[in-house]
Amino acid sequence: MEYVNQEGLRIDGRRVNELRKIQCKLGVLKRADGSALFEQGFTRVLVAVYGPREITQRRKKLHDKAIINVEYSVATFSMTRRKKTSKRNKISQEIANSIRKSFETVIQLELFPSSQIDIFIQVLQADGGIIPACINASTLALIDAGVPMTDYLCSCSCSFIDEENLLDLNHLEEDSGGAIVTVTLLPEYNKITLLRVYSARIKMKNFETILKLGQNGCQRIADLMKSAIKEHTINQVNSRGIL
Amino acid sequence: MNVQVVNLGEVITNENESIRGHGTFQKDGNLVSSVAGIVHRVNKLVSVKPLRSRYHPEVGDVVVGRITEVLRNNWKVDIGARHDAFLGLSAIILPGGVQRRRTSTDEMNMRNFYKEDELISAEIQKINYETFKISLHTRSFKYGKLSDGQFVTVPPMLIKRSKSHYLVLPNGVLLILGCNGFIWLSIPEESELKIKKISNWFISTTTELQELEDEINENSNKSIKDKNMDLETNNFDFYKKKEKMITKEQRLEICRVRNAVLALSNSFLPIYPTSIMLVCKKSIEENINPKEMIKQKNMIILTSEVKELIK
Repeated sequence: MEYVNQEGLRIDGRRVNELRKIQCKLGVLKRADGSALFEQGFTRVLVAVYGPREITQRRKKLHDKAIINVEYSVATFSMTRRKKTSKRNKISQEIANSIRKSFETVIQLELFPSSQIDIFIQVLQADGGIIPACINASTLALIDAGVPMTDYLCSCSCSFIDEENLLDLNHLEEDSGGAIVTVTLLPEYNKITLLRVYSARIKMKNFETILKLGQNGCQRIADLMKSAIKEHTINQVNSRGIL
Repeated sequence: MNVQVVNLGEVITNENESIRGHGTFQKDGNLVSSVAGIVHRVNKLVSVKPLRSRYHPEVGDVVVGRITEVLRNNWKVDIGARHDAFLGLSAIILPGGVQRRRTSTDEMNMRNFYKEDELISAEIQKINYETFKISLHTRSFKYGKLSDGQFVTVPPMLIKRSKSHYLVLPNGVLLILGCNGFIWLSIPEESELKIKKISNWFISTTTELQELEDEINENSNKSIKDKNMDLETNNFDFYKKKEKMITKEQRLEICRVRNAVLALSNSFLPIYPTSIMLVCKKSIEENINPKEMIKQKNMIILTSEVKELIK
């Protein structure tokens, strides 16, 4: 299968370093403290954030900081075939753990001792780049909930297929057998908090260029998220009677 | 309106001139925002308030809460804040109205006072900022167990702290506005309350507004006195759930007030007795059923007068 054709177009008509269309909606769930619906192409993720609130798991209580509890679940109708995945299976727990560790670097946990912040992630449509979409959506939901953070957390996937560095893969490109690199970046500090390479091995000489492409993609996603938040905040301010 | 809206990570000002408050942190000698919201400046103190946040408790606030746990000599109450609050056994009114020491028999009888999942109204007695322990008390007749009514939740910033949070509206509805955004609607104990028909309200001039507010205060005080009489009679009667006879008209009025509260919360307008009454009055004028008050287009009609009043 040809992933990049002679004119340099990919399967969905994008260029090699083009991101998919990104749409952000904040405050979609009325009962949650914060919520966000994030779409990157056909990948859709819904995140609800509760907290900081009273700890439910006493054993994990920390007297000087808050704990983050991430729950990652994939809807049965989200993939091309109906597939029931439990929230408790090893893969979901590993993904939830890595997302939790990334957010521990940005959320100011010392401000809320003996509390817990819950992040509930639900993947509604899975078309490649699921974990980056989950991280981006969680960032938006945390901002909607008013949880103080030191920076945004933006994430993007990239790969080396057909002698080209591709940015923001869809699920056909992910299934191609090439190595997938997922980068999670703090845009203001330009620091990487989470880096995953999976599906195949990647050569060292290609790795650096792919990493740069991934970081570039994350910076562009950060800009899009910032403008979405700014617009949402200004709309809220204008529509409210008083503050 | 001159407001400065900042995004997360946006530089607010140079750090030298200002003291950092909530929602800000220092970075490279600058003061940077850690939330997306509005900047508040008080002299040199700069803080950023996010648009949505949980209830921030303060001493003296009247709150409505739900009992989550019964512990050895206190109850744990969920008030929608960052931590659950504690209601101590020594902070409640004992039956008989006598002030005495709490004994081990009282500790055994705790579930006769308050059980899990019951709603109570209480006042915040003290907050220990080191351990974040919020202590409540129900040492007055207006606080205590809530039964036979309706519970509504709104964002806590909409409820301003005022003189009285226990109110009886002129249409006969008892309203407890918890500062944490939890609101309780019910029917007060029967007595000689001045119940006016909504069509007879005139709320156009400020003197009439004042008269109406005085009436509300009068009715509220009467209702509190009625509760007092209950206490001196029997043991635990004060804490038993009373089955009140609530008529259909009273239920309709409670629904109307509840939907008025929801309409105000939808437009993010402040919730206090005058604004609620304005919305209720408008719903009668426009012949809108309580059931239809929560439709989007009706909510806009109902809250238009309140928006004018605010400006």
